[in-house]
Amino acid sequence: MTNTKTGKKVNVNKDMMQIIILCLMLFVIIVIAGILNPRFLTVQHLISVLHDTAILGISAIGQTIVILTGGIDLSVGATMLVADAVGAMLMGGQNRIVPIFICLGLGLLIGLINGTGIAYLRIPPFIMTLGMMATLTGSIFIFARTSGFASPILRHLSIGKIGDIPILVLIWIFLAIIMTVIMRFTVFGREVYAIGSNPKASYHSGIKNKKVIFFVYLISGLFSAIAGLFLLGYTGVPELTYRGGGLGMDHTLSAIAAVVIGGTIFTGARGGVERTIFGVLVLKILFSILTMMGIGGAGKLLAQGLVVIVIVGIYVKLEKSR
Amino acid sequence: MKIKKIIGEWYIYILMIIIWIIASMITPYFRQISVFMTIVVFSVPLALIALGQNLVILCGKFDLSVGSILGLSTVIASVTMNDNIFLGIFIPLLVGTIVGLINGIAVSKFRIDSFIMTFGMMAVCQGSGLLIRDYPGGIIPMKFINFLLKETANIAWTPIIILIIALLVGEFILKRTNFGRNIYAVGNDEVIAYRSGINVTFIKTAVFAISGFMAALAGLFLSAVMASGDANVGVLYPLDSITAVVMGGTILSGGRGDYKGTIGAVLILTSLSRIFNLIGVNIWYTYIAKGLLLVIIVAIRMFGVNEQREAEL
Amino acid sequence: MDKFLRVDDISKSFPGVRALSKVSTSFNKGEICALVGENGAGKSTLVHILMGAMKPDTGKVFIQGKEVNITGIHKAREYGIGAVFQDPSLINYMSVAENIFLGEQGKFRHNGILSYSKIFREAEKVLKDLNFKIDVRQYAISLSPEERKLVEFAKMIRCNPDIIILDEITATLDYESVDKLFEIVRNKKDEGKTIIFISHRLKEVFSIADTTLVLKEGKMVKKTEAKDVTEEGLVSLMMGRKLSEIFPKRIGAGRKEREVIYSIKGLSIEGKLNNINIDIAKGEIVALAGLRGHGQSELLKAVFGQMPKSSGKLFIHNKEVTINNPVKAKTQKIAFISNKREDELCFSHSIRRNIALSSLEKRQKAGFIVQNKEKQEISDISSKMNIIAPSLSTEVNSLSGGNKQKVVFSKWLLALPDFLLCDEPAEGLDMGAKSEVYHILRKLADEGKSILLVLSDMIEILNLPDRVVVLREGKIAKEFNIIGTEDRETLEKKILKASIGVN
Repeated sequence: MTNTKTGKKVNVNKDMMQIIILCLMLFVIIVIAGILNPRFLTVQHLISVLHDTAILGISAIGQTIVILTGGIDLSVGATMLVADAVGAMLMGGQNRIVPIFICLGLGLLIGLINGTGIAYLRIPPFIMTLGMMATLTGSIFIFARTSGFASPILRHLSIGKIGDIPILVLIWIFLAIIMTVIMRFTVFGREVYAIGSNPKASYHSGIKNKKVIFFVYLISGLFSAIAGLFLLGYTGVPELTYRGGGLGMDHTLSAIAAVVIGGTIFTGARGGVERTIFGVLVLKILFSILTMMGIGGAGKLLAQGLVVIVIVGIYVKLEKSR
Repeated sequence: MKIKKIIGEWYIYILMIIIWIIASMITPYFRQISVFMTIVVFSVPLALIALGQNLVILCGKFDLSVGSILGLSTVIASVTMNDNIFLGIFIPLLVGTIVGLINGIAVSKFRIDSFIMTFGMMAVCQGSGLLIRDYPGGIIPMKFINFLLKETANIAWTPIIILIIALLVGEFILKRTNFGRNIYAVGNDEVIAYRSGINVTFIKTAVFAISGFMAALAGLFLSAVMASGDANVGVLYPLDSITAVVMGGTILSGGRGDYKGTIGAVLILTSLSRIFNLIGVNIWYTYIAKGLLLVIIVAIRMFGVNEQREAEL
Repeated sequence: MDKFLRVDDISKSFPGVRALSKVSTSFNKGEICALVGENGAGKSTLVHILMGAMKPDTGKVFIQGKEVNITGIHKAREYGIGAVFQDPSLINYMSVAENIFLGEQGKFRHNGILSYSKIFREAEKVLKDLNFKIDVRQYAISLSPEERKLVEFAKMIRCNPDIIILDEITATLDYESVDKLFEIVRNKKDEGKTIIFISHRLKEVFSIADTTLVLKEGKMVKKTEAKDVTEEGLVSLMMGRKLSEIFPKRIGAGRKEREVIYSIKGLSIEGKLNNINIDIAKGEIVALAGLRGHGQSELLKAVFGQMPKSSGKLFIHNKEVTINNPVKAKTQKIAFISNKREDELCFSHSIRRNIALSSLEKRQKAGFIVQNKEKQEISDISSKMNIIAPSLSTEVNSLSGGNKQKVVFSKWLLALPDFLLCDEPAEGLDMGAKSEVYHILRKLADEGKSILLVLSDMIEILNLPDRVVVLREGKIAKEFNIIGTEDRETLEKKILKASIGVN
């Protein structure tokens, strides 16, 4: 059989296309923001707007890795708020180190339980993390006291700046870079992508699926707890207003939106932690634009939805175009 | 064995009866008619939404937008119904169906992941609802409320009838129509269904349209209960309906399950909230109970399903 | 000039591969035509085009002189074309009866409501007419592979198509069932239906076909009356070259000393395998033969640890080894090359990622992948295996079937196995690729590796392995030594007999 020429050579591969789209998106959205408010275009302003983006960004790191394996973590927001509340309770405004470790430990514990149920008991991720979120929602409101403050150190880390750059943003970027390197250059990272792309093939090729999936949820729990602690540090007091729909659902949904806008799709074929950074930025700047236009929470929600639909539509077109 | 089969099919109702028995032993209040009425009334919206969600999950997809459609529906009703009851009923239903259709077309024709599509649509509908009315309010005419919730001899018959009709309709569609059988085929294996001449695109689009319609319908009912429109009221429904469907025996990946189990699960979930309320237990315990119950039931079922698979994953 | 079905100038290409090239031919009413050709010759593609599952790049189809545009399966049905494909086409969690009437259950109503008792009754009628004894109420998942094929056949035939296409339908069937089926086919011929029958088993072809149509590498070679051609004639038309060119020489003929390294003892899997004992020596290629679905693939999976077994042990160099998952198998240097690419490849990933997948731990330092070592090893093995692609970052999805299979091979070879399990290694490959695969396997054997294959193509069975073990209904029916056997014809007959259970 003759191997015919493929017609058109695969010059620009899909990965490249996606990065181009992401950069374009970011560029466009910054331009729009700049038109509305010229001050926006100064690096200073941009960075200050992004100050609390880091919190979303950190929680989205864990969610990205989970989604890369083809799963989902609906308990991200809940874990964040648990760390937030427990941290405040234990710190009580004093410089104690132990509370931080306890909160991180809680995050790991939550991730451990999720991971065990999903990897070893074969409970679908949607169900397991949903159940976890429900359990956490109930638990936190029963056991938490609304009192408590962040410790000064935490406050400093969350609000402080080095020069013009918030420490929090530096921490976020730092964590993101570490995780990106792990995902792209280690065996573990390869295994994560492989499992998301084709779990059967990974298992068949001798990869310990269960172990990897277990770890992934562990990581998500940890990062959610970290994000929660910084949330505490940023606002100073724990966030315990229940907006319905499950504890911290708005955080969870924003994290998912950021991951999706960043181009990570549920099949581990494409995407990664570095893309999510773009997604987070786009989302937050979008929100800023809306705030500048005087659009409130409702409009923001609507916009978030539309953006997700449109962008995913573009990505799907991209996938199909071969 | 026969007994295993019967338990497999009816475990939800067995569980429900056990829960009711335990509840009536713990608290005398549980034996009052009014409590059962509350359970029934609050089960209606969830049961209606769960019907649509059930069809969607049987096809192997998700519909996260149901709660927002419900909220939007109550808001539209609260704004239009006072002027014209008919319009107040018709427009929300139309909107819900159209939203569902958009979801369906995006998922079936454009192959956008259903989680993401309905996630985005959820935000769109929620936002729209809030834009129309950002705090609960509006007017729902008494005629409408009475029609749905009128009590004779201390029993509101309409909600009971609605539940029964929902059960019959749901089971009928799934077991006794070509459409329902085709849903099972699509959920089991889309490719095989397509090769057998089934219009897979139509089926997938239709289930989302139905889901949207049911969500709007549930919204109309709820607006009568609340006597107002509230865009935020539906926030819990997407996850609760998926919980009910999965607890009731439908497999998350589609192709297996039915609606009677779902209704049983709905009744259990609503009963639990009521019971905890009566016992004086903190409402937050219901969340924990729901979460644990869901995970435990699914875990147990997984062990039953495992027998047929190879040692994979 | 009463050609009932005519195809004119049909061509179809996929990226990198010409599946069909200007095929023009015709079929009469009441004609049974056997469509033969090697894997990848284009038979399935032609079938898919006739059934509307694919659109041809060029060419037209005519039925009774009128051009038809088959846009989809339902259109094909309307035009009276029915097919039984190779891939499974039953819904597992539905009853046999519903499967037979899939999509049209609504026809059976009682007082306006869908009636299951009617569906069951009608299904029973259909099966009775065909003389198939299968319980219509059971879920399709509990059918044996043979029963499945029969039900798929029933599902197609109840629509009473005028053009019947059967794609490798006898691969899983018993002697009796094949007889029953052929009788039905002959009846349909007498009714004036047109039947296109695809099979690898040339003996069958001659027992049923009126005409034969040979495809080779996408082109039509010849269409002749069955009585005007012999089996050897067909083979040479199909392959286009001598067997000795396609298959590597077996040096093993001279080997006297067999050093057994791998011993499978007492392997059983409930419902699939019963007390299997097989030895594989160093440098030996052993083939598992027999009807498809009689436990061959399950045997490989069990040895690889991918399928739980009810009993059985594996001995390597006389030491017992427990393997219950692929990770352990890899540690023991066992590799399993499956024919199901969905189980082997991450389609949206690059060639490089896929090839590296089974040997990641060999090129890592503190968890990090040693990039240049990986690039080197992968580019080495790709050129050794002759993988044709724009670059190593190309998405595996866009490769031809043959190249995909080579990626799978490369992946496992990098894991440096001593024991290779292969399920139909050359399936779906074109002639050139097949020959390459055969040569690679023989080379590995000559290097001292042990190879256990599942083969169903008689030509492969007779020319590639050193020993053949025929499985029937999960048990070992017979073992044959290929080397040292002179008479091919007799050997082939014996193997066939053992496969279908005739003594």
